[in-house]
Amino acid sequence: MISKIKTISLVVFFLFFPFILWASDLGVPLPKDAVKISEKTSNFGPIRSFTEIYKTSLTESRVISFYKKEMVNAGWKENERGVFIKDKFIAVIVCDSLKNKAGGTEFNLTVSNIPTKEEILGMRKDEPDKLSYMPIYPGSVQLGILNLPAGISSAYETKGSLAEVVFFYKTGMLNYGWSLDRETWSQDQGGAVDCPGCRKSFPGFSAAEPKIASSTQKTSLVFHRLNGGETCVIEVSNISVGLDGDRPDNKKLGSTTTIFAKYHAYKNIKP
Amino acid sequence: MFFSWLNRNKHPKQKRSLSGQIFPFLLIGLVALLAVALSVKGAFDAAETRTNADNAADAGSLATASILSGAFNDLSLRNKEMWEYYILDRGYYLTLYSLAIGYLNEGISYSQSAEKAVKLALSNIKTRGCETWTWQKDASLQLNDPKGGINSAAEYALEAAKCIGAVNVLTFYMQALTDNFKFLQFEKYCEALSMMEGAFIMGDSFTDAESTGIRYAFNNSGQGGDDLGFWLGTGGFKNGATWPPGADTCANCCGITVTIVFPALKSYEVEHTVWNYPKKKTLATAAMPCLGSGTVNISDDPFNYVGSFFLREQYRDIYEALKSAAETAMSIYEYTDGAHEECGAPPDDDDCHCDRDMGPAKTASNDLHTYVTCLHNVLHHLNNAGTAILTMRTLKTLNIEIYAKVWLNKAPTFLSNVYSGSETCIDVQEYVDESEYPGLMIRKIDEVILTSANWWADCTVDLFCRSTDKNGNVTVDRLTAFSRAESNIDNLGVLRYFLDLFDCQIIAAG
Repeated sequence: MISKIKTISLVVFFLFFPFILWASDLGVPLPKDAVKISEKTSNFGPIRSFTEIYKTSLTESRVISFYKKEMVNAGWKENERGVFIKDKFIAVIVCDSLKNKAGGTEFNLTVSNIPTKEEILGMRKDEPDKLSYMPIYPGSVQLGILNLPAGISSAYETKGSLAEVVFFYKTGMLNYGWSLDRETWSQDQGGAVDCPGCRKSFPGFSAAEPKIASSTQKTSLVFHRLNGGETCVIEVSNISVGLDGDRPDNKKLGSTTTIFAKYHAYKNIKP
Repeated sequence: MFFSWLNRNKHPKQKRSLSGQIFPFLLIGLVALLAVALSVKGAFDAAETRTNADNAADAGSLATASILSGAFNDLSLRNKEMWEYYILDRGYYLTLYSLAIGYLNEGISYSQSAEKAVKLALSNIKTRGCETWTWQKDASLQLNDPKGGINSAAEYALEAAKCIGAVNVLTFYMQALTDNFKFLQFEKYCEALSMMEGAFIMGDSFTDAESTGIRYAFNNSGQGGDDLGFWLGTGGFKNGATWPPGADTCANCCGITVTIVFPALKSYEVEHTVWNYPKKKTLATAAMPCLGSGTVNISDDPFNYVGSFFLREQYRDIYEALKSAAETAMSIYEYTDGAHEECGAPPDDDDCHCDRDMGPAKTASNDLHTYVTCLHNVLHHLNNAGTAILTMRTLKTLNIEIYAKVWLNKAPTFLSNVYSGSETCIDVQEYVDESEYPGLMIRKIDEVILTSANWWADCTVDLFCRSTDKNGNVTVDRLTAFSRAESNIDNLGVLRYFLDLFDCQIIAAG
């Protein structure tokens, strides 16, 4: 009975604390006198990262040499300077000397899993998460969302036009207590090119060889809330492709809109 | 009178003592005692005044040094936090960046495979005459050949689309992470700046240190009462102020003057990265006329989030187009295969007729050839275009450049006097937000240098009494006390070792 409980406890432990397993099992070497200063875990979608910051008496170049040699001995393959790969894991070592009276180096060791591209793409959500600080454009797909110390960033894509999305946020954000600080708009018109296949799609087009023209438009909306120094920046970009010319029914062949929202609030969270 | 009374009562021959004989001695003693008491009180008062002045000077210098030590300790903490954030977030960014490079390499490989497969398929989709139906069968066989063919090309294009889709998600993470870092670093820099800008315009911590030193000195001087407390509370005094106001010019009065002196900051450095972002760049997308897509420029896209999104859509379109081409090829195959069965031999007339009209197959195969050629050209362009065109190779190059210049490299530091000492955090924000300025993705503050070779805070307390005689001559009696507090910095005024604790102590008095 007791051994059963032990087994279950171990399984639960490794299920819910995989980083601890990584840290001990991955065999990332450390300089002899390395002292751990801090540790932190972070998730970037399916990428789970475990970070430890160490202090050693070695110089920066010695730390780099140490890892160049010892990581290979431990079975890691150096991908590029400071980046090592082993099985489905990636380890990065960041050294940057901080001038300090005692000398030595502090360095950062981050170990993360390597997700497949399908796992990364699997983070897309047809029904985006609800956010307390802003509305979500109806019908949009959530590409990703990141909760970071300074705030939350989220990205979406939609088939809605730029004007529709911008109007939605300019009016919708008022209900969340935001005031629009500034709005910037830019456009880039591409050159027209021949489109042999377009005649089939638009039989009424009079030109012998229809031409298509593409354009990108971007609107950046900056909101602020008075109570607490919060800001929210919503960048809406649209790329559309349409037939060139002054046809009244000059409908678009394709249009995609991306929404990048950045919410910042002073949280004063220490690393 | 006293001596006549003594004579009257002096009867040495009398046996009894006359009353009150002790009184004169007592009186003399009392007078002597009074004289001594007065003398002691005078000495005591002088000592008390001296002590009060010394206390005031000590309190003033120590308070000033304490405030400044606190400010520098705060600056040290901010700097340490900034540095830790930097290496922490750089580690995360390096991870995301490396994964993105990996997916881009994989995507480039898939895109090349798709191009090769399409090329192989094209070699079998030749525009010929009536014998179309004989080769079409071979062409259709190529559709599912794992080494090449349209279906294989479509699958490669789909994998490439997935790779660039994964990169698109990673660009979102990279931009969000960098945004977060930039925001936090700037916030911490502003907190540090609010202390340091006082070095030049005597504000914030430097003003606090000065005014606190003056308050402590006055409060410990043993002078004044509620009036002095009120006066200090108003904050309307300056360095070198005198209490009571006007005492330094009055005819007959006493007063106290407090003066605080300490070194200011000469300069400090902000270590920042090479690029500010967003870096102005423009990428033109590859035109795909066979897919109804012209070229368009994408700018103001610092981490290529929009660019990778568009490129993913392009590869998806290529995948859909190849799948569509494969279906067309299969239809032609089925049509011509049926004709083969019906006719048994290639048609020999100019109109390609046997029992079945082969004309549509010929037209369709010619169209298919044109279409697939266009797709091949698009893939070839995406695989070989230069760095001005939005391709996976270009994104890889830019990804490497962004990491190197935004995170890895550091620019030569600049001194705070770039701001002329009058700019605030809000002003500096323009440097951070505007892409026109290089750098200012702040890594840390460094090399804080004082105007003095040593770190100290002096307080001088001057007690004085002015008296004016009948002729208008002014006499001033003075008592001056001095105290110096010094902070525990051993690098001759250069506060570069940010992990030190700046404790202060009194090292001199007079």
